[in-house]
Amino acid sequence: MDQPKKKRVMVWGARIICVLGLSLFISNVAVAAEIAGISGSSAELHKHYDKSLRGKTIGFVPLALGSPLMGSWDYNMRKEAKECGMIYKVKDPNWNAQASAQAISAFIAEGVDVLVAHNMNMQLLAKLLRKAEKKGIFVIQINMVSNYKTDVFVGADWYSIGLRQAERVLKHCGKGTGKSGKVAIMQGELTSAANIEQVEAIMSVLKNHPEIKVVSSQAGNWDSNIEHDNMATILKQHPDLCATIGIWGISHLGAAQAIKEAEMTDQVLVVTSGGGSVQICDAIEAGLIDVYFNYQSLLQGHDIMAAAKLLLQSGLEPGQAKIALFSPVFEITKKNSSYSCFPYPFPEEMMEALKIDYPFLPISE
Amino acid sequence: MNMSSGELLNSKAGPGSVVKAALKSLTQEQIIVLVTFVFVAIFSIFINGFATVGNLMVLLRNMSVLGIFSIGMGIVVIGRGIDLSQVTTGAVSAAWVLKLMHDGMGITSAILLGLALVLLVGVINGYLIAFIEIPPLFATLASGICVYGFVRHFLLELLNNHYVPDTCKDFLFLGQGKIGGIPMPVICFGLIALFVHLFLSRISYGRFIYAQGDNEDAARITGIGVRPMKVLQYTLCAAIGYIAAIVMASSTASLNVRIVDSTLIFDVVLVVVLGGISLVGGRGSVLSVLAGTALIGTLLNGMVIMNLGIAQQNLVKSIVLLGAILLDTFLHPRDEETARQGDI
Amino acid sequence: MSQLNDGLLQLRYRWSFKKFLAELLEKRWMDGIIPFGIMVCVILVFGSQVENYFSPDVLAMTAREFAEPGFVALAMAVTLISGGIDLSVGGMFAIINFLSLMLTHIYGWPALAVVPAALAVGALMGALNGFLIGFLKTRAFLTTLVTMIAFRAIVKLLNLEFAPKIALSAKTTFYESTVWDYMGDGSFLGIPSNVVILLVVAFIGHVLLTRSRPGWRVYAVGGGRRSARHVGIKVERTIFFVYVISGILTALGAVFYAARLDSAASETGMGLEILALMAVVLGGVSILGGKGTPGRALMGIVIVMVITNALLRLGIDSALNSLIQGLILLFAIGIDVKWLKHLYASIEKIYVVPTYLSLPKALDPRPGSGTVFEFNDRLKDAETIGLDQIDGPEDVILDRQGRLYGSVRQGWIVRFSGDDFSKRDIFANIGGRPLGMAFDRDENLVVCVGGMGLYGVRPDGEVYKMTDETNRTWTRLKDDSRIRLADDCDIAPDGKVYFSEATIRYKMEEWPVDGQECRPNGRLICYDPATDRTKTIVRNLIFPNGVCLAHDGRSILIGLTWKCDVLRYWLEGPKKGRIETVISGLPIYIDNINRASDGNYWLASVGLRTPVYDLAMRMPSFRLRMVKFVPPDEWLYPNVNWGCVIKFNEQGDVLESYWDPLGNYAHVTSMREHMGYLYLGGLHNNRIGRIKIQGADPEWTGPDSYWGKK
Repeated sequence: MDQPKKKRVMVWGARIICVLGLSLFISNVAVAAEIAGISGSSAELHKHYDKSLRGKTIGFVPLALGSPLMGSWDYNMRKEAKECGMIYKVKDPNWNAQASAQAISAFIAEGVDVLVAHNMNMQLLAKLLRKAEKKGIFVIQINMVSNYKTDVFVGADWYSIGLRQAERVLKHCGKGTGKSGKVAIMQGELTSAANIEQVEAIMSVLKNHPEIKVVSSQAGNWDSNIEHDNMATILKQHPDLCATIGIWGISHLGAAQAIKEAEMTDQVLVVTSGGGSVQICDAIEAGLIDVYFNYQSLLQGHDIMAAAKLLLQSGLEPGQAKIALFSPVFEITKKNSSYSCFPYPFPEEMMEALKIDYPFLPISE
Repeated sequence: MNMSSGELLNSKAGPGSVVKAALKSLTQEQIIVLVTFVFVAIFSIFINGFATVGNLMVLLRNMSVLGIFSIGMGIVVIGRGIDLSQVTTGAVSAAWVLKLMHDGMGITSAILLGLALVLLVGVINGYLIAFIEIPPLFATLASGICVYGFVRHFLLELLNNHYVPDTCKDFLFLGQGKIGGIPMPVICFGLIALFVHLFLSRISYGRFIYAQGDNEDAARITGIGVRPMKVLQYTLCAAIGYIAAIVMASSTASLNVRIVDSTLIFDVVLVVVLGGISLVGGRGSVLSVLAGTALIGTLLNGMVIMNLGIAQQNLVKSIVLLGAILLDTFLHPRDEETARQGDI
Repeated sequence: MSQLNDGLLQLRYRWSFKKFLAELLEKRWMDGIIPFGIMVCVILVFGSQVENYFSPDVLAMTAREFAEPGFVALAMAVTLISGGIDLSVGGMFAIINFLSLMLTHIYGWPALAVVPAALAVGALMGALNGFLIGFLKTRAFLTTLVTMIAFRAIVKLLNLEFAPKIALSAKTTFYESTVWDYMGDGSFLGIPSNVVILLVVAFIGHVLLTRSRPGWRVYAVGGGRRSARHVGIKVERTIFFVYVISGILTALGAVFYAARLDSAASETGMGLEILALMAVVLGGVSILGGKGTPGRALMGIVIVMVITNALLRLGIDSALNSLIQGLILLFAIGIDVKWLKHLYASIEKIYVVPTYLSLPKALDPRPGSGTVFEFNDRLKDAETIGLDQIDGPEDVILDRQGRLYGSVRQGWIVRFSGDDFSKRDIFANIGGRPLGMAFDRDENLVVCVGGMGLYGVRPDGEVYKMTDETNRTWTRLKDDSRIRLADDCDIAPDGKVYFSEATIRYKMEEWPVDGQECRPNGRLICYDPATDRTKTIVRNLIFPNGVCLAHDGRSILIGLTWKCDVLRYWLEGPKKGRIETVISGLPIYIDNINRASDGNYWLASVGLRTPVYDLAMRMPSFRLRMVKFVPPDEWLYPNVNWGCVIKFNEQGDVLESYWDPLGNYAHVTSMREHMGYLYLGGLHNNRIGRIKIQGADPEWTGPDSYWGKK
């Protein structure tokens, strides 16, 4: 691809990002128009939309289903794919690396149109994803970026989240606060892209502040029990701990629980991040977590579908685009915790929405 | 059974091998306790903040869950078995309890339902091992996978993380409460240790377990119902594992069923073998579990304070376990003439 | 009419499905049939459920994924066969995978150097396991469990150190190498490269394991560690090498994995040990050790991979997936345990299949009956030789020097010499259960050895094998090429040895059970020392026992024990190759037949027919019920407690009979005439007896009669 064209694509992508917030609304309008019988200027668009999307297959390989993060992606993709007449398939490798590769291979073999991959680490699927693109499949990677950059990346901007977490800790423990400046970092999986980037960002800020001491930086393998036990030990060793940073809120709840048991919730600032399920907001209300950077996993699911629709309609060949959709992040604290999280497991009413049979008009010529 | 293996060995030792005899005159528990003291001494000197009452209490508290699991495992290992499904069964059942409470069930009925599930799994394990005669390693390996899949699919709606709902705050007392300044997990650990100790040393069924573990055929010939005994062991093991999982869930107010994939079950085996409950069966007691728990607890606590990563911790743990296995082989060498086929 | 009826009944009981089934189950390849069936079913069922499963593209892709666990399954199979287990395969897999990527991506090694390096490291890790399990005798399960944790921890540590570097190198460019790409992506004749290598390795492994000495040692150690040690196999060393091989095979799989995916994830190989274990057990490799082949391991991996792959592709959720996998594992192990436990018991239960046999009415042997079989006391005064010095001389024979030989239970040939046979020595130690004997022209002693075959003993006592195999009957399911129960032999003037094999369905110690069956399970075999060829010449004889060359050397007499017939097989003359009945329906069960000095023949009888058992022989279903429901020690057996010696002539007329009222020679299996005396042997006797024969030629000896005077 020549340079100017690439640039054009990038610009096009950037525009799309700007309108993403509105696209849900737009697609609803489109459906409404279809039902009413299309006439006027939207007819042409609609024809293109239907022809590009109807009957196309989108395949999803998460790390595993069953947690709020992956569950909410699954939910929105399932719902939106159905709305535009696409076929949605998911294969669940349940944290198993080989199964993950197998699932991708299977999708390549079956010949899906868009492949959505949640990469366990930077490399696992790289070669397969390249293969998929060569076979003419659009590839979208989510949250964990791989070494091989595919058409679209949808996910949190780990670096900026890390920076913001560090800033919050600085504000609480830094110079002039009179605190000990001792900080614990609770990592997840040391080789995952999210973990590497976020920790890198945190350290890049903290290292410029000699008053801050990182007293512990251990991997808990995304397991709340390990974080709990580790935190209990750290607290005994450093009773004057000032703050703790967790990479993933769900597992960091274990550490928060340990802080509560030690009756030190007032003293220790708990900063973490995640997709924003209701358990987190409950914990914030209970005072277990103080600051939470929410990258809104429900919205990410929508972004994935938006990107897929975009690619299918763009006329591009797989491998030509390079688009990043970093998820908007907002901070949840006690002030806004009552309305900032989504319920999980999804309540009945939300699940009902998956069962709706959407009306489709025949594709007009 | 009251005569320790050390005394038995000592009575046979010749005058030439004084050192070996001296070593062998110690029971494995005693050796482990000694090693623990050495570690404690080293850590106290070199690690700041290790030898404080607070840290030691944390150590004890953190080890309680592992300790409870290990006591359950100890029972089956004494009976020459092993239960690799223990952690899985306990964890998914406890997760189900949380789910039930979340769905509005009362604490007691939820816990009882969970217990019923666990007992069922224990009985099935025992049945597979005692009646179908599948080697325990494989039976429990497979049953663990089954239980995980079954509970997660049919009872947990595929969810991984489960939380104690606000309506059931009383449930948290088990893991987070204190009586007389002593944390509840430690009390649970103590009580279970006491009960199992009495069961194994004072009740005829408990002592039969030693007989069965020592020599199953002989036990059968003397009229002990070996098969029902095995079912009892696996059921007890599962039930005690369930208690451990409940305490665990209560102390973090949540439970992630992915703990099934962790090395916890191996830590449990580590504690049991390390303490001197030999895998050849019929040896050791609750005291062995306490000794093993103390050593592993000290090690883990020290490593966390030293800021070692999980990988390093696992490496150290596996080397220690390897040492324990070698010690076990050295103290209870495999008898080539009586070793049974398929006894791996 | 009754004859027709007899014929029909015989036909009715001749072929039995149960006999077929029992012999089928006995086949070693039967263990492989079940997994093969499962494999075919699984492929058909799941293949039909998943869309375009069988398109060549998809098939190649799936096969490529199958191959890497395939190597691991082979590793697991070898360790299981040796009676151990290797749970660390997943960890090793991850280390080798990482190492290969490190060497290629960071250090830029050529692929051709990476492969041997990876295999060497695999062997090293296997050696660690092998050292611990083999030499230090730790328990395989726990040891490899621990090394698994250790290997995994090492991968994590390596990962922390090097993963970013590998990632960085991969970021700029993919590692380019023709060999590496060929390993990961290439195919040979449309078959993925790793599948080709897997099949080659499995084939070589199969041959080595099942057809070579080291391979047999592995089976021996796995099947019976104690016995293996007792026969002198170096158990420790065998086990050590098994784990080394396990490491190498795993490494091979990991190298291909590395080449295919280029992924240094520390999760690599998670759960691989469970997958491999499930596969090999499903394939019929027993967890109890000593059973299974690489071929079956591959069948197993195909089954498991098809199932897991199909479940994944069908989008079954992971929990249900693991439930199904767990149930399959449980089922497979349950079947394995139960199959092995009950297989032999059930074969035993259905193995004995009695048939219909109607014997003509027997002549009455009771005193006062006036028949030639009339009970008498002619053996009463027999002299005793070697009382309590000999255990069950089935056959006795004398050489030119007048020395007396007996074939005894200990596997020896015992020789008595001296004037009154007071000197006893062990002439030869053959092993097995020596039975019938004969001297050849060069005075070598030819011996039928139960459980071994036909052996010879030179005059200096040196033992040599003549034959233990004959041509196989290809129409029979049961492999009858090995000679199991050679019973009695005789030697024709041209040096050919003719010997009977009493039954091909039972072992030496079970010979009375053959009497329950009364099936034509025996045969007459000819061994030609000149060409060293063995050939079965007459099949389907009912327990052929005694074999004796006629005086003129033109035919052979064969005694059928349960049928109570004496047959003649023509070696030459107009009836050459034909068989005819000389005597039929004797009232006694026939054992050995030997020449008498007066041109007639001696015949030993091991027992006396009884009306009850004759009736039972005509009631096969009765005997079947008995065999099934009554413990063997309470079965109704043919009477083998009271027999006699008779003499008959060339035409088949019985001339006289010799009985012993004292019971010392009631159980006679053999007799030889020598210089006017008749020497008596018995399968369960503690002595050899001899009596003076009235009117016998005092100069006549067996060797002279056969080979002429020297």
